Amino acid sequence: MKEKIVVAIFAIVLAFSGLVGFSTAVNAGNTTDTSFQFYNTNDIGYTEGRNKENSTKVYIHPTSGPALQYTVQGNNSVGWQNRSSSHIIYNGDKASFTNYVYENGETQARLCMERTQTAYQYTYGVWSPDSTKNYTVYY
Amino acid sequence: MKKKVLPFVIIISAFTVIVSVMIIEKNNKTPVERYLDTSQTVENSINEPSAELYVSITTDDSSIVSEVEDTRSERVSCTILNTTHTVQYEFLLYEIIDDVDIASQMKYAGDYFYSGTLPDPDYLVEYTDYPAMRKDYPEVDEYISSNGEKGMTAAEYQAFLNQHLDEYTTSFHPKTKYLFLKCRISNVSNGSVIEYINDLRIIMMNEGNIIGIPTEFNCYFDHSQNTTGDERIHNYLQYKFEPGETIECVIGCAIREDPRFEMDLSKEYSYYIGFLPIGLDNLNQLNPSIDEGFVLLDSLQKEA
Repeated sequence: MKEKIVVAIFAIVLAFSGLVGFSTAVNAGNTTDTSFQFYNTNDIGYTEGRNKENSTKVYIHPTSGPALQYTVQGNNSVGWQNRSSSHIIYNGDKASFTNYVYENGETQARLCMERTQTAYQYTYGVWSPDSTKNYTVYY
Repeated sequence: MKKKVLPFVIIISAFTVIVSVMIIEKNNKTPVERYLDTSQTVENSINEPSAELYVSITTDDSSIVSEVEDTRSERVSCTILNTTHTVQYEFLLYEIIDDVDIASQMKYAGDYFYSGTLPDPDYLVEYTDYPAMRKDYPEVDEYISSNGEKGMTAAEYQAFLNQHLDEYTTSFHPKTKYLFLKCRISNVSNGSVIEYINDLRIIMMNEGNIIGIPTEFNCYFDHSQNTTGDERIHNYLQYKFEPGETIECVIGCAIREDPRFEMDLSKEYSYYIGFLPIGLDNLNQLNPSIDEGFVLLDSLQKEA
């Protein structure tokens, strides 16, 4: 008898849930990777701006070439501003960069890349403005 | 007696909670209305610079601009190259489906959406009013302004968010149009090429001004080579072309209203498809309506 009552309660709650139509808010974010490259005879370079859709960390994954120092920037009315600390990331590392692009109301993020050594070589990698999980976190 | 009463108490309690939620939701303003009411000043400060930022470049001789536009509307070729000139995109057909119809259509399978499922026609997006939060909590403002260096520690900031984030966060459904583009993509280099389809952008323009920010083609791809796990999350839009390889595929993007910009998807905008030039520092430097690297969507054949 008790089991029947419990089942009935659950059935009623589920039925009403369907009627009310509860929705879940989703800010899935811009989490697909694109590639970047940087020629190490230059002092500094930038990726293209990409849409920043939430406050998650920026994902950076260098895949080959000399290590670079990275800074996340956000775009506002006065131009691109640094929105993170700067860190050197080495090949193969997957970095989750703490940043404040979204918190500053900015809609685009990009990477600022600075060489750590002069070399006639490219550095290649991939990155995304938002992420679904954290790797090695940089604050 | 107690045993008889308890199940009824549970049922009534559950019913009360559900009805309370319904009443609260009904009496609330919509999230967009609350956002507009409470952050009007901030929205103005955001929108005004945006309007300045996205004003298109105008030439001194407007007749040249209109002559180029006429030529563009008569262009037969709908082919562009990526920024490294290694992959050619030929645009064949397009179709736009409104969010209200996306779940009921049968042509574009859920598996080929980046999410792996058909989009929810009523999906919600969260917006956090950080300007209001920062105004109410100066230490949080100092923390964010200093990129996490001052005002509080990272742990204190996280604890603050755990306690207060919901107070400043609203949810709303942004009107969305899903654009599907059938295209022929070819490797025109001598070697293999790893291409990121989401480098392709669509830009909205109205009366010579760029509206919002460029949207990536990151919503739909029916030829992905990376369909599971982390590879899907990161590399769904990546395709490795072998030398001479050509694929015919459908790619898609979701164009959605953003309250931070003055945009209204019920209006007729012009859409331009192309790649952002290397070294582009500011959208002020771009005018897709005269840039030969961009294709006007209306110049393509519309899917019947």
